[in-house]
Amino acid sequence: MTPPTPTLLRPEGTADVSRLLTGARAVAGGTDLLVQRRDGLEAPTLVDLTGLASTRPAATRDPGTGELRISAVHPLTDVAAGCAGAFPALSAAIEAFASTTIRNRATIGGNLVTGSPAADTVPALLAADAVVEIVTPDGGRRTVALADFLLGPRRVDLTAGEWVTSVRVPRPSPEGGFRKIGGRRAQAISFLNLAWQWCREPDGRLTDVRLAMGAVAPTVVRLHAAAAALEGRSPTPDVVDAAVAAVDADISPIDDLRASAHYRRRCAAGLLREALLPPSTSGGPDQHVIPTTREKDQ
Amino acid sequence: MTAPAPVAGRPAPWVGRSRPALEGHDIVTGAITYVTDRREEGMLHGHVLRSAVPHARIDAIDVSEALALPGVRAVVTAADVPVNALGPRAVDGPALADAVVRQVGEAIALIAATDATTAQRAADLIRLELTPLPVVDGPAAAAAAAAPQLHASGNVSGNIAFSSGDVEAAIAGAALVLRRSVHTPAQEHVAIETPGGVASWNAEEESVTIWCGSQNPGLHQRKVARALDIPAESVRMIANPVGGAFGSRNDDPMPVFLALLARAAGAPVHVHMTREEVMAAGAKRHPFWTSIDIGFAADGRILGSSVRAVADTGPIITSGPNVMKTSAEMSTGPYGFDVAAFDGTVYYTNNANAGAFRGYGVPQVAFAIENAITEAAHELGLDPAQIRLRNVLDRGDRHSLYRHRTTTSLNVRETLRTAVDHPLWAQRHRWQAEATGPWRRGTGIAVAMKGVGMGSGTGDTARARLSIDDHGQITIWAGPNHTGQSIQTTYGQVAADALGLPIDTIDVRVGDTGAVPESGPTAASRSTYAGGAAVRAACDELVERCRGLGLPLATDAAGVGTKLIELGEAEVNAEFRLPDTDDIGIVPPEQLATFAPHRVYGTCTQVVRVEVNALTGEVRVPELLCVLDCGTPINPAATIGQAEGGILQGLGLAIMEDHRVSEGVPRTTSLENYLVPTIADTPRMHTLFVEGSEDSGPFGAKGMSEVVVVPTPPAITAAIRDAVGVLPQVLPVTPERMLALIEESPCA
Repeated sequence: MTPPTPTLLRPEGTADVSRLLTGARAVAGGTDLLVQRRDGLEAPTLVDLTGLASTRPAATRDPGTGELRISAVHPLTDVAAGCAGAFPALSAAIEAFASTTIRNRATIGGNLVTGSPAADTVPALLAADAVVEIVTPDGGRRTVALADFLLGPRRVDLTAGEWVTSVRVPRPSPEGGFRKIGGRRAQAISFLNLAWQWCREPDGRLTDVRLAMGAVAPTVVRLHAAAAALEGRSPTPDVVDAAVAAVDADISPIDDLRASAHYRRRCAAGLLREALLPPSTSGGPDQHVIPTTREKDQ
Repeated sequence: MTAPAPVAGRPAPWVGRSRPALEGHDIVTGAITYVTDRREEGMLHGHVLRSAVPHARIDAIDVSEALALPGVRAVVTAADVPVNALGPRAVDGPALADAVVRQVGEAIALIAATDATTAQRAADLIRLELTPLPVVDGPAAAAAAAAPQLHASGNVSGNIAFSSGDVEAAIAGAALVLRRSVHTPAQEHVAIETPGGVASWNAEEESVTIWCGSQNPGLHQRKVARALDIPAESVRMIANPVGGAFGSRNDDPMPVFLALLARAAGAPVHVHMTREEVMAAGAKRHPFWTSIDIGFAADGRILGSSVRAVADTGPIITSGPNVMKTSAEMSTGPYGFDVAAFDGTVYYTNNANAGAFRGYGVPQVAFAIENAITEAAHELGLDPAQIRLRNVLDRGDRHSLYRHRTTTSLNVRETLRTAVDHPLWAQRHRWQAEATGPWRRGTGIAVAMKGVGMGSGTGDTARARLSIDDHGQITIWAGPNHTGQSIQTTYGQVAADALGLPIDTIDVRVGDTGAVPESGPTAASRSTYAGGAAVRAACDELVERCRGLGLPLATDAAGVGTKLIELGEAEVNAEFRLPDTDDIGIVPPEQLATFAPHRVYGTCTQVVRVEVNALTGEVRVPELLCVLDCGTPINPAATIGQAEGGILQGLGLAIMEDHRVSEGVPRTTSLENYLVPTIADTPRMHTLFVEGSEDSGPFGAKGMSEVVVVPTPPAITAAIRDAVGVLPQVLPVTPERMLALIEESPCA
């Protein structure tokens, strides 16, 4: 059981990665892989992708189509800054993600490839119909819809020698958000999470409604039935009730150490109901406000 | 506050003035060498082979392959331990499992090797033949008629029962009788530094020096001496600097492991447990199942209360019955009424061992009584603060269960009054009305009391030794030990004011059995009170000696030191014996130490705001007020720090911490799945002190470090009751439990 001597390889540039990946695993922030390795995952040789971040921007926006291209190797902090408000659901997810120090390391690529049903950036990307851009061992590219990329718990459509370089997101809706429920307000694996985006028409109707939820099924899933119940309608109490009732159809939660399936179902309904509250009464985002000066009464 | 006023010609007083921890700079710069950072020439690295199963007979242990592995210098099993015991009784458990393992994580063998990886590989090569035994997975299983008996003495670790009258008769005509059951979980200490350190064996002298954290260096010295079968004088414990304790370094066997390995290997050995090892093997707060029957008059007066408690101490006794003894005394809370009863039983099981933990049995029973009072206030239409004011003990009142006399410094009433006047309580209705969306708001109040020191009849004593040199420098060796709270900083403040000398001429040393006189444990909120009083006594003795000899200590310390050395009078030894209650009430005198009622208590009222999400069950705690009755806060910043840390441990217990074990197997195995509060979960905290002075304490101080944990959980559940109309009886109030309560509530 002697752990093999770990080796960290640093590619010179994108073209170098495929060569080094033979018999090795890609690592970026390492916030999940290194923990898994400590728990026994065998990955003696790692190829560090973080150096690639200096060769390109964290996110770019096509001025014509509005499509976002998000780097898979940049820290989430940089991704949020790079999106510059163009993708509110993802920005909200990043804000709720782990902690500042983790966000300064963790990447979209790592969060996708690790294949966790509870991954916090995935619902926003899935709701937005993101496409994963993969570099193949011969240096070529292939793309796969995120919905097809996610195969199951810890399973994604990525073969040996492949790595995720970026994620393309068709013009995200200007109105969107993310909420997670965890055992505490930072550094917690989600019991479940929800991302949403939609357009609010001048008459109050919601269109292009997309919802995705994590930790309620083997992969992050779209809430198609709930979205259909909302599509083209104003979120009146009846419409909201119908949408909330439809959440159950697309989820199949399990009991685990963090929460029961029953709670996940009840809370899934609650999360969608909360997201549909009029913005002025939603109680605001989950406020992670820390007093900057500590008041002492003495 | 009773901090002394400046006196002309004397240095400004240090008591009552915030002073940074002496080692603070070294901590934040990383310069400090904790015991686990220590490295010695030729040092080996140790590893502990631990049981992976909760209960099994050991049929054979074969260490031959492990011993043959290159780099392995020693393998120690039960057969190699001269006296294989962690204490004088069989229920104290063996140092290393011999015939049976009774807990996941129980130590079976110790290995020392040239590096930690080799030591771990050697552990994997040890062949164990185990026969599984039925698992006693909780108190109910332990009490069952056909239960496997974990000790020759049975599965009952201890029982304590006392009654001051017929409770059922007293509450028969009550306007309101509540019969409720609550549960509080096992809680992990999560001291930042995990146990470990270094031991070095001196073969010529047959002696050992151990650098390892300890809340009771003298007790660990005796434990090591027993196990190695050497005189206590041959064991030197150097028990700091250490990164936190909270009770976990009271029962910790690590000093014994280190000493066994160092002797077997004939070289210094270093061991440092992983967090995962601590989660499995380290002692927890005792999980409790507590029931209360309590009756109230229509005006809110308590007419009588009976509390029954069951606790799970795991496979060995550690602090079990002593914890229950504290539960018994505090089962009446800080309240005065005529008839009370308590009956508590501690069971052995194959679950995680439980031991000392800040609060020591009080948070568990306080949750039952405070929740009942919260409910009674609602049922009787009374203000939750007023019903408490109607019942609290006043200075010198008799205790409700033992009828003994409490201290005249008892100031619960003032903590409540101060809390009630604070905007956090006074503006609670307005704050509640400003809630939006699914987040409902509520404010809760709870009050607590906890004894300071080991209690009457125990002979609890702290000691200090002082010497002055010919430069006028003072050295003081005192206990209890530093375990993270920087008690030496506080001792220095006491000494500076008692001696009237500049504080930088005083060097305080703690935690070394080679130099510090036996002073008992860093426990029972006694360090500042008892250790500070011993330091004060030593200083007063020196001052008195100088006065008697006509020596001007304050103006010519160097000259005085020179003269005292000439006279052979430069060293002072003093002790402080904690005073028993001056009237033991109805406790039988021959059983005084059995019940150990306290004379001195610290008290605390907390007001807390919570927000509950009615759709998801999340609970947030944005703001909290802590009002302390601790006599003189000698170092106010340190006292506030203690309060804030204690509050966070109480908050964790209230809403997230839960060390879960099923079928004897721990399920919360690391800090990934055992959650403690982060800074994002931390409320804005306000700590206030009420005026007061404890006559028997140094400069009027008394203890406070545990009582601050106690009101937080019931204040939070009271606030939840105020927010959403349901009162949780099971901790922690996870989002799942909260949502279930809301959905099951008739008002939902």
